Amino acid sequence: MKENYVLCDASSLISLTGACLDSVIDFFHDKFRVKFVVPQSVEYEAVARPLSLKTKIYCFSALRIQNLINKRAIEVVPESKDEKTKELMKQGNHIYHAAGKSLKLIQKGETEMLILSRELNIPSLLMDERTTRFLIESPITLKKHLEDEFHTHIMVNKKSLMSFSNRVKGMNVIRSTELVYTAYEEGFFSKFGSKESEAAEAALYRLKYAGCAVSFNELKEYSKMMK
Amino acid sequence: MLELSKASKLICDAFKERDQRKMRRANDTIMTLSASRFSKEMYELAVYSYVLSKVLSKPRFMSKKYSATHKEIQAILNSMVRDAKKRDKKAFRVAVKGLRTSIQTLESRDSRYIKTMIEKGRLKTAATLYAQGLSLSTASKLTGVESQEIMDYAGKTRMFDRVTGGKSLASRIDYARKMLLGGV
Repeated sequence: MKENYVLCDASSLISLTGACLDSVIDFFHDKFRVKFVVPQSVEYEAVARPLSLKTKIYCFSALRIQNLINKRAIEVVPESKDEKTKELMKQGNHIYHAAGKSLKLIQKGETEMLILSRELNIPSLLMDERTTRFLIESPITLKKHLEDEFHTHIMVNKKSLMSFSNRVKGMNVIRSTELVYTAYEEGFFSKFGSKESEAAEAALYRLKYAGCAVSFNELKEYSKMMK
Repeated sequence: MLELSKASKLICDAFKERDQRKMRRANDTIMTLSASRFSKEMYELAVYSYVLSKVLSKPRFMSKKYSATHKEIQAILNSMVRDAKKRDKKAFRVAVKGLRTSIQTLESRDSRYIKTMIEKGRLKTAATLYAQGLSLSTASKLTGVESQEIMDYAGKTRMFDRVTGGKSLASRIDYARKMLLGGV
C-alpha cells in the first residue's frame, strides 16, 4: 500500500484533540499507512507552548498530540529556510490593501507550512484555519469578506496575488471534518453499532464547536450523505 | 495617533455618559480600525472599550460604593485623550496600565469567574480579529491570546457560517478519499 503524506497545521490538531478525535490520526496511520507531518513550529504551538503555560487548560490536548508524535503517527520535520518563508509571507501580506495600507493577514507559521508543502512535495494539507485556506482556494472570496468586515473597498495587488497563487498552486486543503468523515466511511465509528452514523454526525458537530472552519450548512450536507 | 485620539474620545465620552450602547458602538468602530491599521495601542482600546461596556452593563459595578473608582477611570480616560492628541505614546501606555489596575480593583471586590473581564476582553478582541479575516496565528500573535482559546471561542460563534467559499464539500471529500485511501 502506498504511503500517503499529509502536512498538518496546528489548527487541525487543536480541533481534533479538542473534540477528542485525535485517535482518527492513529486510525489512518495504522490502517492506511498515512504519514501525518508537521513542521517544528506546529509542534511548538500545539505541544511545547501549551505545556509551558501556567494555565493547565490546554495541557491534556498537548500531551495527546505529543503522544501521537512519540508513537510516530505524526512526524516532525525541520523548518524551511527563513528567507523563503519571509518572502512568501511578504507576498501574502501584500495582496490586500485598505486605505492605502497592506493588510497583514498571515504569519510565519502558516507560511512555513506552504513552503514545506513545496519543498517536501506534499500537496495535501490538513488545515482547519480559515484565512490561509481561502488564500489558497478563493482569494477573491476573502477580498469580499474583508470589504464586508471593514466597510471599505479592498484593493488587490495583482502582482502579489499572482505570485502567491503560483507558489501555492496544486495544494489541496482538507479539514478535520473531511478526515473524520472519511474515517466514518472506513468503519472508524463501527464500535457504536447501530448508532454508527449518529456518532459520526455528532463528531462532526463537535469539531465545529472545537473551532474547525465548517458551516452548519456543510454539516447538514454531511448528515444527508450519511443517510 | 489621530485615530487613537478619536478612539480614546469615543470611549471617554461613552463612559462619561454612562452609556453602555455608546460604548459598544465605540468598540465596533475601534475593532474595524484595529484589524486594518493594527497597533498595540489600538488593540488595548479595543479590549478596554469592550471591558468598559461590560462594566457599564452590570449594576453591581455601577453602584455608589464604586464611585471613587469610576472617577479614577474617568480621569484616566481623559488623560488618554490628551496623551493621544499630544502624540505621547509613552504616557498613553502608562494611562492604559492605570486603566487596567482600576478595572482589576473594581472586579476583585466582586469576582465571580475564573476568567477576568480583561481576559475575556482580550479573547473577544482576538476572536473578532480572526473573524474579520486575519489568520488564527496573526490574531494570536497580535493579541497574545493562545490559538487554542481563539479556536475554542470561534467554534461557538457563527463566524464560519457568515462567509462560505472555496471548494465544494463534495470535491473536498472526494480529494480526502483519494489522499487518505488511494494515494495522490
